[in-house]
Amino acid sequence: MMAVIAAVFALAGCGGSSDDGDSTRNVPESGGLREKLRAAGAPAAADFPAVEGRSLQQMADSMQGGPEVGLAGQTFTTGENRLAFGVIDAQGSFVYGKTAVYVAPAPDAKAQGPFPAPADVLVTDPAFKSRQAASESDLFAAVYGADVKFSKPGNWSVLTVTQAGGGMLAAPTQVKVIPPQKDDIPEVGEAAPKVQTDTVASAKGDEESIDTRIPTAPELHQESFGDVVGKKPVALLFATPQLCQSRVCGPVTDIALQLKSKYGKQMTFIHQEVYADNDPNKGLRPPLTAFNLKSEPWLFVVGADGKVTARLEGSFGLNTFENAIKTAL
Amino acid sequence: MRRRFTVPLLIGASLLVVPATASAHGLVQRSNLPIPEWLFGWAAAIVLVISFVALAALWPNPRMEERPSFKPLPGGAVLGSRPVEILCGAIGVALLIVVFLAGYVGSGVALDNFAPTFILITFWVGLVFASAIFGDVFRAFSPWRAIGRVLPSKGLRPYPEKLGRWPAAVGLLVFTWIELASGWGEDPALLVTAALGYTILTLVAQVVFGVEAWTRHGETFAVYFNLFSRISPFETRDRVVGVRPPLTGLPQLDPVPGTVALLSVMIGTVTFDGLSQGRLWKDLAVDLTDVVTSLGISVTEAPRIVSTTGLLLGVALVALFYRAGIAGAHSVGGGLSAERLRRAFVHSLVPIAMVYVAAHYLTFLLFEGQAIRYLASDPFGQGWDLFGTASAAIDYSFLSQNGAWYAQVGFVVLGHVAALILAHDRALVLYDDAKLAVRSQYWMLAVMVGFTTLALWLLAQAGT
Repeated sequence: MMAVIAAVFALAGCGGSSDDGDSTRNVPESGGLREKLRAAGAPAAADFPAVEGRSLQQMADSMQGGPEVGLAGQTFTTGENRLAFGVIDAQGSFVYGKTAVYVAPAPDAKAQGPFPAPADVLVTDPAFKSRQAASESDLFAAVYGADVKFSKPGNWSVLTVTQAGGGMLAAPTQVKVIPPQKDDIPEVGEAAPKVQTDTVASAKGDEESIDTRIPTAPELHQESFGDVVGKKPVALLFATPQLCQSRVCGPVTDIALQLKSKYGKQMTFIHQEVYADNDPNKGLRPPLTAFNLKSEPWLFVVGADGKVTARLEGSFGLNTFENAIKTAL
Repeated sequence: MRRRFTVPLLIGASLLVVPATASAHGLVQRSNLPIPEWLFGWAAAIVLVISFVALAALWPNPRMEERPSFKPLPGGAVLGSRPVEILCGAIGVALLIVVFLAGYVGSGVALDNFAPTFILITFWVGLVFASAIFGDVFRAFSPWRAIGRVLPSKGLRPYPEKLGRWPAAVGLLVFTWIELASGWGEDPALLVTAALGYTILTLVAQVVFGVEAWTRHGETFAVYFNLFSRISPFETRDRVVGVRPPLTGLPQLDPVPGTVALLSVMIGTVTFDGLSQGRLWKDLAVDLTDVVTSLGISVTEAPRIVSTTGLLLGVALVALFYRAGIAGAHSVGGGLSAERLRRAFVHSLVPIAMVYVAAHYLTFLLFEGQAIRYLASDPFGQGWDLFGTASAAIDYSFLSQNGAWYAQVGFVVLGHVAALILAHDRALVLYDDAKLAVRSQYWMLAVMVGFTTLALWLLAQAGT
């Protein structure tokens, strides 16, 4: 029998990894979604019109309208930022295709860009999919993320452009950019607040009181952040899968679970619920206050020295989350 | 269509991804039922009372005590043949080895490991349903019996009669402790180490007492699944698979020592599991944990001690409840000792144990049990897709929460009616006087109504 098992391992390529590197492998193929996301995952600046001195308004006028853009974050500072968003058509469905971003201090100011915004997949392996994620009727399969540089504070106009239906679909929005000194959320390079987070032990075994994911993920509530920070790398995720203010909270906790299975021996993964008593009317839990958070979800990756090596707000997919983790390893 | 670059408000833009209400998923609560949950309890109790009256009026003579009729199935001789038995045993052994390997070489995360899902859902829950429907399938697939039969020993000494089913009862309590209180289920390697330990223990016991003797009374899972298989209309008799009237395998149950304890563990542990899903126990557990930690026990160990206490109390509660019912039946007279009555009616608890499992674990099996599809495709976490199901997601949509509730209530009522039938039929044998038999069953009716109410209350508790 053991010989048979050994042969099975050998034939099947023992030692391989369950992660084949294709983050779209769990995306449904129906409607060509998987192929769309594969294409959307690798946009290049050359795929989009050059600015050639035009204003953002002129850029918008040269393209087809229709979709709306939904921002996944609201904290932007001068300098480089990750601008995460989803594109939604008139029917409320998500639009996937190669996407880029143009920005300008005002619609009639000279546009900057294009900044490619690769689609980052939010669909985990089946084993890590929560009941919330598995029950979504309108799958939010990927979030776009572009690295955008804002040169000064103030309101900035943003134009997202997605290749779909044989054309360029443009969607406008606006972000407020603040100076870094007005951003009181721990930034990369700063020491993370040494705050105690909720654990199964601190909840006296009542897992549902500290985790709204269905089913709960006790794997992410074994250690308190305050006990491990400064001793080993930590990925601290603030999210509330059941009470989320966004349709993408659930997947980020699932993604944390999936990445824990891959990096769990090198790093501690911690999930912290957002609302006191899991009631949005009762305010935020103390760890969020300690981090000065006013939105969720947030991910902080903290190195063994206790300093933040990466932070992500809003929505982040498998690739972005994993890249953030690697900053602390 | 061209559009003007109109700049929306920031919040307005964000709200495109943000639904209007915070609790967007709405998965936890059962949707509004057409009638309140407490009314289901009353309705179930009324069904039992009506069944009791109907039995008293229309079932004057015992019908289930004789060895049941048996009709071989077409192909029944093949199904029950030695080669098929060897094949099934080999499959069982292969699955056991796969579980061991998965636990040790697969993912360290339980969700992503074949072993916990196979042991705690497919095997533990799935085989209960399979046994009640198809008969004693585990006897055919048991890896321990299969291995034992190729070992040279036929038993070094006779199995002590006084042990009866006590080893199975203790084994079941330990298994349920591992599942519900230990936390070992979160650690695949630890879980399969426990399975490996059980395997060694079982093989040694089989060598000492003989394979069949240990399988019949000592091997926890063989005994456990065999009890449920007695509900089934399928039976293997003299190496031929055939059919018999449903439930008729139960009156043939030998009520050896430990049988009442075993049934108490079976029902009591599920009772605790159901209770622990509700707010009542969760709040109580928090208070109890405070008490335990005040004794100097660590906060990580305290919840385990509290859960263990709850588990034992659940078993004790069921045992006491049954004992009280029997004491009541004893009080009507008839010259039968309480001990004899306890053993005589214990088979009627099997359908109750069955429906407790069926009702409590139905959605667990139907939903979380689907995980075995993708885990089986890659049992060792090597990135395989052996059956093309590695990306198969769990489908939560095929059974609504209300649909599950109706099925659960149906199971509970059916199981308790079945228990009433078995108890009534046994009473007609025990008591010479039919009126006395019916009077004794007032108490059994109270037990059944009590168990029914408890079952429905536990189901309603879940998720509160």
